[in-house]
Amino acid sequence: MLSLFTNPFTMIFGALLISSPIVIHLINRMRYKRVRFAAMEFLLKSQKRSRRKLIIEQMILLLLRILMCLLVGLLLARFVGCDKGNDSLGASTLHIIVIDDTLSTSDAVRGDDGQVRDVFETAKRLTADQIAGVIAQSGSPQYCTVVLLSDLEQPRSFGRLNPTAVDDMRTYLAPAKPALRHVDLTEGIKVARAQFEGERNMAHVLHVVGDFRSIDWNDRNKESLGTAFEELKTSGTAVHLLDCVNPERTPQSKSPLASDNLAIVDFAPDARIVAKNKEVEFTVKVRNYSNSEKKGVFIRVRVNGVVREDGSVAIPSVPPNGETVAKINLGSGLSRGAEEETEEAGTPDRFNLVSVHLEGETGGIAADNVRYTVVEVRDRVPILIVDNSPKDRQTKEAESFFLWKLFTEPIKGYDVQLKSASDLDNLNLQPYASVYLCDVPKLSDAARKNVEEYVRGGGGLAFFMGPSIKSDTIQEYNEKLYRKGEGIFPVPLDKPIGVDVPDDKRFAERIKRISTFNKKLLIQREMQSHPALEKLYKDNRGQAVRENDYEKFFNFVVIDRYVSVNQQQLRGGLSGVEKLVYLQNTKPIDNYTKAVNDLTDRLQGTVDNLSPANQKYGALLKEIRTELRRIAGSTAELHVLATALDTLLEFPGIKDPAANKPGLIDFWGQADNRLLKEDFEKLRDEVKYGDPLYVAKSFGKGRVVAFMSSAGASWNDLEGFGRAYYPPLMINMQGYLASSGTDANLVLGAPYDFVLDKNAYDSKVKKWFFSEEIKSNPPKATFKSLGEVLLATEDQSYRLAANDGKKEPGIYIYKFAEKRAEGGKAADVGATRPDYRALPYNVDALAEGNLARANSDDITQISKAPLHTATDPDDAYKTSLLKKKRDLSENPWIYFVILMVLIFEQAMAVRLSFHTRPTETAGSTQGMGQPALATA
Amino acid sequence: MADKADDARRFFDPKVIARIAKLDLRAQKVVEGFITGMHRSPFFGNSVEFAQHREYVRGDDIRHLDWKVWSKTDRFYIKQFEAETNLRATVVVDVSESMHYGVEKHRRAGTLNKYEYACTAAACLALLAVRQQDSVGMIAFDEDIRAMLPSRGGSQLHLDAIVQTLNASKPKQKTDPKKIFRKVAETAHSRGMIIVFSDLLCDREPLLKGLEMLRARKHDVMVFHIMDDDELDFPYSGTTKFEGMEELPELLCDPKSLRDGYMEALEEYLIEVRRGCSRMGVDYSLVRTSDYLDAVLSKFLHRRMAIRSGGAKVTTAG
Repeated sequence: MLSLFTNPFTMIFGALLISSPIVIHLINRMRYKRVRFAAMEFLLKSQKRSRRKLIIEQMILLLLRILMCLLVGLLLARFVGCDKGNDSLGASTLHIIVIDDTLSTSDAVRGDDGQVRDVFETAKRLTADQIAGVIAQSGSPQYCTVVLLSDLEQPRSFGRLNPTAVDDMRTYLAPAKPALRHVDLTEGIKVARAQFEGERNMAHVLHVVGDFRSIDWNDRNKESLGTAFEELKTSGTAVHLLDCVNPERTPQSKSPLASDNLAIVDFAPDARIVAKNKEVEFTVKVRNYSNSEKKGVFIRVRVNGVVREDGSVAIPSVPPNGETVAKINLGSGLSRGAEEETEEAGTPDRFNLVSVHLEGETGGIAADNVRYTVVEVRDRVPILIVDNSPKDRQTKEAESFFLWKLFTEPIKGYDVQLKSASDLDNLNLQPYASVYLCDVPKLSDAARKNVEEYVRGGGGLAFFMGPSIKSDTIQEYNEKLYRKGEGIFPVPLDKPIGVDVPDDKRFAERIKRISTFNKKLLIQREMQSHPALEKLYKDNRGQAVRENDYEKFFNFVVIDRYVSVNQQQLRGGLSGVEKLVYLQNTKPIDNYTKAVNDLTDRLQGTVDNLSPANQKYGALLKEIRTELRRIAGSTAELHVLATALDTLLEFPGIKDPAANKPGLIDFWGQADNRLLKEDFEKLRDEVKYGDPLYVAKSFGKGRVVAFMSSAGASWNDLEGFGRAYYPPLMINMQGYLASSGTDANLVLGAPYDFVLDKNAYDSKVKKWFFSEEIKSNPPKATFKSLGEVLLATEDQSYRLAANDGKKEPGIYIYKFAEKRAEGGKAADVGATRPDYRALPYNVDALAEGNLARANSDDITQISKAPLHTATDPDDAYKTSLLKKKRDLSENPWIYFVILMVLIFEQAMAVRLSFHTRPTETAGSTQGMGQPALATA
Repeated sequence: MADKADDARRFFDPKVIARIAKLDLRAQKVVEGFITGMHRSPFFGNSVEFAQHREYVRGDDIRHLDWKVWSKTDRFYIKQFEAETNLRATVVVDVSESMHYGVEKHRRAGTLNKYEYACTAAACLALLAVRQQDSVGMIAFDEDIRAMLPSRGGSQLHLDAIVQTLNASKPKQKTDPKKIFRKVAETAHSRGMIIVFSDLLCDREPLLKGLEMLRARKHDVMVFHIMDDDELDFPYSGTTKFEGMEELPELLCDPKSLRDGYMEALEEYLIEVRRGCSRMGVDYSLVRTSDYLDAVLSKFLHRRMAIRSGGAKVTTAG
């Protein structure tokens, strides 16, 4: 309240003065003259008549006098509350300076003085000199708080600003370095707003000091930033923005130059758990944040600090504002670690810290040239296969047989464990690289919860159907596992297909299928690059191969029993579900006869009007059209039609001119044929794909896939031709599932919650920070203990909000104490075994690597605040900070109002009594020369 | 000329008159000055004064035939004369407490208060009547008749008695006009002139009824309504406690704020009184205590003269 006045104590006296008219009125009532009067009759009558009017008039007069005192008080106290335009300036003001110290401010630029210093250094200097230094010169009380964007929890208040406080600020800021993390400016503004709300009696000014990059002010953040600034504006906070980057912005240069930067934006292994000394592959993405191509980008790999020359790669070129993906293959694998960890000084020994270092970059940000990941190394990778027939395990009758055999015999390095669905109730799934549920008709609630938590936390889970999946089971799947898309099962199921076909007919059908030479499985082109399938289309060096190299096996696939997906919901679109493999569409053609005829009629019209240049296509088009009409009139299955349509649209041509069969791709590429082509494509897509066979979906941090046929031979021919396509598909499925959780790409500051079963774990957790020391000789990786903490209790579970990865990139390892015995066996009372989890944290290169600067107009439009520069050529910033708040005495209207109040007061006073009217004197002398006598 | 005129009128100024302590001297000064300034007074008429001629009709007294006209015109005309009167005037002076409003103020200012003004005016008229050989009486009243001198022929002794009686009266009670006027009517047996000097600060109804009673006895009633300037102008300001006279309550107020209402109530009152008087044929004059007495007397006498020469004249044949 007092902050509204330049001279607040004067206003206190003014407030007391307001009561003076009342006091004077009361005094006047006590001091009066006595007059013995004869004509009292008229006086009493007058008093009776005008009593109410008199009271009102007296009240008006009293109020006018109080108002007069109030106005004079406001004038003398120099009321500043009316100057809303400068609320931030004037009496007591709280300045909050939000300094952007995120990673991007570590970009070093050469200033006008020739010195190279990073943006944050400039920001610190400008904060102390241009903001705090100027504010301290203000005559009114100015308070200041500094908020570093990377440390929002600890705003630093410097109290009332004076030269000493400014020196304190310099001392506080001097050792500060740019943080390695990314924090949205919106968060900083929210913290500032919370600070302002704690000091409601002060004027508020927010200063944002930073590099104002385009990525921070783009469309993604536009709304949140705009809202945050709007809220500040609504609450009366003045905002100033100060850009610290050189070259400075000018009215002519609203998007000035920015530094180039190369950044490693992603680095992940293809499996989070690998077998010792087995080949392991990593994917690294390098992004070029510049307008020029970067050539010869060299990436060196270190494992536990030691350079692995076999993994180092040279990327020939990274396109401007683009990225290049490189594969790093450590052929000899990783050696550190053992199945039974040998803890060195209590530290886990199973984890390998793998890092990639981008070398040779000059300029830009250094921290985003390194990226870390962690790989858990075991002697053999544990995978879990759950089936429904324990007694048949490791025999062909078991649904798990082919998977067990696949990961046991031809492919080494896996520790395959076979368990029943009931074991899932109380089994720690965390150690398993992946879990396969083969023909499991039902999961108990505990088991379902267990697998859901496992996948949500980064595990990989595969469902296989089988003879146990019946109509009632399907309902159970839909209600409990699918749960309208919320559950772990990726798709809603419809019904089992082909289970009712008698064996003789089934056999005949199989013969028929095998004898027809067409692909019984279909993979859409765009799905060929899916992580679960991409290696099927690449050789060992990662080079693409022809799709038929693998898909040729699809010609002999026989999958005559499967569970269909609910087509209605599938057509409606299932969020996040990727349909990797389709079955051939064996539905009858009847419903599409008319559509085919219509389109072929249009095709005939096109053929009849071919231009001379297109005459060469005429014969082939007629031939295909005839074939289409024939198929449309036949009882063929839809995939036949799809094949014919594929021929029409994608016929590659025969080079021999004598064959007179040119490729049709060029024909359909012509603009005149575009509409017809689109209609044929639409029809082709409708008729080509049958029911989905293999679908995938991300669930939490993990991955889940569903194979709609059996893992065993009961519903297909895995004992026959199926052996050709099945193993590669399953191996890639295992790779896909095992790599889940590796692409979490945790960035510094990102939250990560561990939720553990309270009955299965102890409440204590031990933490380490695992980092490499490449400058030591020899380079090595070291553990640094982060101490032991207690888990927070939540109902039936423990929760740990892992917030260690805030400042330093590297691997954070957590050792939980599991009370459950291995394999779901009964545990000894009080005995625990370690359950390790490792979280790799890296700098947020995607958010911080791009140094391109935002357009000045965009910034001012979003923030609705002035954007200043370091040199502040017209001193606008300084002037606005030093400008004193306009008080009431500077407003001419106040004098007019006082004059008006005075006039009204006088008029009322004269009317009511207190001043003699000029006419009264004259009136009293109207008689015979005797002047009026005022007193008796 | 103006100075001379002013000098001649100096004794009509209430301020000047107030310096003369004795009422009889006051009246003498006023009347002398007044006569000097007048050309003709209606009180100097002759009862055998010729009025007009009228043709003789049978039954007329032949003693009134104008033979001179007959000798010239050979026709009979009767000479008519104004009626011969013997005026019986009674001055009725209000000596109630309200008439003494502002005693101290007027004493300090050297002016006449309502009572003094009324006494002076009454004495002046009594003197004029005495000098004209008419009979004059006096009644002083408040709640009741406090002093009464019956009408008698104009002798100096009688005039002195009137003056001494007025001087001796001390206002103290409230006014009861109805009662008083009834008594006055009962006292004045024959028709005469009743001249009332009062501030009339009493209830209108009994006042008018009293006057009506007088008029019913065929008295020629004149009312000099004497009001103080303060009562007419209400010039008070500042917080004031008004203490009522004649048993009226007191009032603490800001007088300026009540002035308009006061003036309005006063105006209503004056209109009511004036209308009442007019309705009854009472000659009403509102007199300020600051008014010059000659103006008051002149106005009064001229009105009387107008009445005599107009509808109010009494003509007698022969």
